Amino acid sequence: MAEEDEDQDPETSRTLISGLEQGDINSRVYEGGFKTWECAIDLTRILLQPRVTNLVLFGHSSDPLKEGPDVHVIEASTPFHQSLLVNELAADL
Amino acid sequence: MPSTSLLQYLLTQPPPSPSAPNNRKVHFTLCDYNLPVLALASFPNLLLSHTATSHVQLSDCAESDNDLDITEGLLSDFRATLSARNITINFISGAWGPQFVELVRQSSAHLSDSHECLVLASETIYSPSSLPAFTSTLSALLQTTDPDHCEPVALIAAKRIYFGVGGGVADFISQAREEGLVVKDKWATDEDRDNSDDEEDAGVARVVMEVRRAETTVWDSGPHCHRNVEE
Repeated sequence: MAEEDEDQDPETSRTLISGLEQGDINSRVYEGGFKTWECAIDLTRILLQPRVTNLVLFGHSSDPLKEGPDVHVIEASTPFHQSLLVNELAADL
Repeated sequence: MPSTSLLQYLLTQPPPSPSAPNNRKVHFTLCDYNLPVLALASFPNLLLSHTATSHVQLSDCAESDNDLDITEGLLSDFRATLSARNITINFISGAWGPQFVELVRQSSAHLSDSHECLVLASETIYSPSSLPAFTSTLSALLQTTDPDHCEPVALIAAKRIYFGVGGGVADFISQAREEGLVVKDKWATDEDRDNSDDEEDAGVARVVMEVRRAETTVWDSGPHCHRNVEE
């Protein structure tokens, strides 16, 4: 996993990697793309808010006892994150 | 996966009475470009939400070392649970586009014409080259044959900018507008300072956007088109 090396001296990174400008590398701040599951967690957190789950359970009816309409939930996965997960799983097969 | 949490939530609700008329149906369609992802990650996660909420005898599944054997008994128990609650699930692999939209529509043919539609997506807007296909697909999925009663909505979670890849929220919003969609922020890390004590939030800002077709938008004070993004 491409995690930030917290022990790396910022001075060393500036001299080792050419072509980057000041501020391109910020120590202790991870800005890479591998931790993509953060967004899926954000989405899950929003989804489990009562107002949103009520939408799924009861539709737009204000009466919680009234049966809501049918619901179709369509989820599109995160391509590269899921691919990473598949690689981890495939290693165990 | 958000759908896993949603399914788990549904499974913790009391099952509907068999004698109750017109029990509502909930249908999940899980999608990914890669079929193995659906088979090896998506489906097992859904199965796990069943085992987490059911009273199935896990000793029958020879559980050890955090492994769960998928037995015929476990699968039939899962199917029975879903059936009793009028929950159905299908999986679609492949790229965005009209064929994909058609497969999604076919999968929900058993739902009533005025069914609600909730589209969930995370990290799907990072690629500028696939953004037009994704956005036009999204627009098609949010169409309804009953606009007076239905409000199809999408919740899209993404990073504001995908460094090194090129895509981001600004591009998505401008593309979405071209497709007749309206977008508003439902949540954002850079606007949620009270909860930004997590060191990870010091990195790239993340958002969850609410997206609808313009003609089905009935927000209280009119459609809230996304503010001009001049970042």
